[in-house]
Amino acid sequence: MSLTTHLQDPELAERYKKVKKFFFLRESAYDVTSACQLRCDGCYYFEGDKFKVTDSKDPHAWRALLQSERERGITYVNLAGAEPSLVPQVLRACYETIPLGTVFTNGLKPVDPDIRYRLHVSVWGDATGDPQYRRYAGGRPGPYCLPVQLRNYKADERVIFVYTFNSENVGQVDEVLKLVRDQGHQITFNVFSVPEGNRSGLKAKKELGRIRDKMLEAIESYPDTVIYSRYNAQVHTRAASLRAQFGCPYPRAAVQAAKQFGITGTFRNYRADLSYSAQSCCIPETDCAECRHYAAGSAIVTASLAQHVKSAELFRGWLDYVDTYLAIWILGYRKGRDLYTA
Amino acid sequence: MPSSDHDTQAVWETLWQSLDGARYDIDSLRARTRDDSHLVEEVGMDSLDLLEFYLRLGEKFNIDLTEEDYPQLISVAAIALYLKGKAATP
Repeated sequence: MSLTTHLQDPELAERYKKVKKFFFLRESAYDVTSACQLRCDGCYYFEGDKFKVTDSKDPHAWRALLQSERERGITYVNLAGAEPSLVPQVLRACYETIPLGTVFTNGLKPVDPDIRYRLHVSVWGDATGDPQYRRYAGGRPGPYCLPVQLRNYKADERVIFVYTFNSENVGQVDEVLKLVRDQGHQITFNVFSVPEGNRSGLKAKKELGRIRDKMLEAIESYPDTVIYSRYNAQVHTRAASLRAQFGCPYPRAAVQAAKQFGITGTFRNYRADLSYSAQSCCIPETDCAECRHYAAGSAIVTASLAQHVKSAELFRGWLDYVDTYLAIWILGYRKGRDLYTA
Repeated sequence: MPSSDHDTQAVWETLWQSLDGARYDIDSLRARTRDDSHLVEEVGMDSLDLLEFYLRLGEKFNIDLTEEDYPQLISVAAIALYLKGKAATP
């Protein structure tokens, strides 16, 4: 089987044409502040030493950085943290320079409505789990974030909720799905991916099968609410990590493997002091052997087209994955129906 | 696009097929590109254009192109040279 053979199927050709238009996007990532109200179990940001920096709070410095990023071809920014909503003036400088991107936020403080980035609002569990997994910086249990998030972002089309499955919270997603659906919002899924050296009990291993079943059940039960595909559920819950299944194009992995292609040569992960490392990665401290992160998958699976043309079913899975990824990351993009049936 | 080389011509044809339906003004690209134009920097191909192009090349020339090969396949001229090398290898 080959790509040209698959593209003779009108349904697959149409979907391929739909997703192909968006590959001009070239991404990089920026930790815009080292401040956060919360300390989440296994938070990648507070692992390693990248939080031990002096933040650049000057919007002019950020504007200049983003301008230079634009000049080297970056068209899409991922603004992460710690917690980006705490530095609204930096977000505005970024938005006015590169207007396509995503802000990763805990949703406790709203991002200004005229910042038209996609907003990925993190959800870690229900009313019992969320406060346990996400504590205040001082160590006491955190707030139940979801009601606050829903209040802050009522009818806000920028938002997609991101539910991170872990070893303990598989069943907790039921309550979250209902609340998100009742407010007319949408949600996608992530799988807890442990940072290097971190011994968090939230790491899912034997629960991966249950997580997959719950994802598939949610796709069936909440078709207008859940932005995920059957193929996403498959590849993110296998025993092998994303890198082990497909290789990885991010610089940290690709340079080690002497494979440089696509984003390998352009992706950078800037710290809050505007420095960056040659070992950049979308989630820099994650253990590659355990990486099932949704953001990583968006690049890893997408870049593995060659592995997905070996059968029509795999190609259908790839198309669903890319269609899903675009719906998650591009404001206004609508996911089509799943083509993958396995 | 000056070339009398058969492989070079076939590589160009494959490249245009890969860009078909994309956002490019193909006629304008044809007019301003050379055999040694960099596929990303000068032709403006994105990552999926390239992946599709390499897959189509593999089919067209009946060869297996791997990720290890990609970094050297940066222009039509480089690809034609690569193909010649492949043909010369028993």
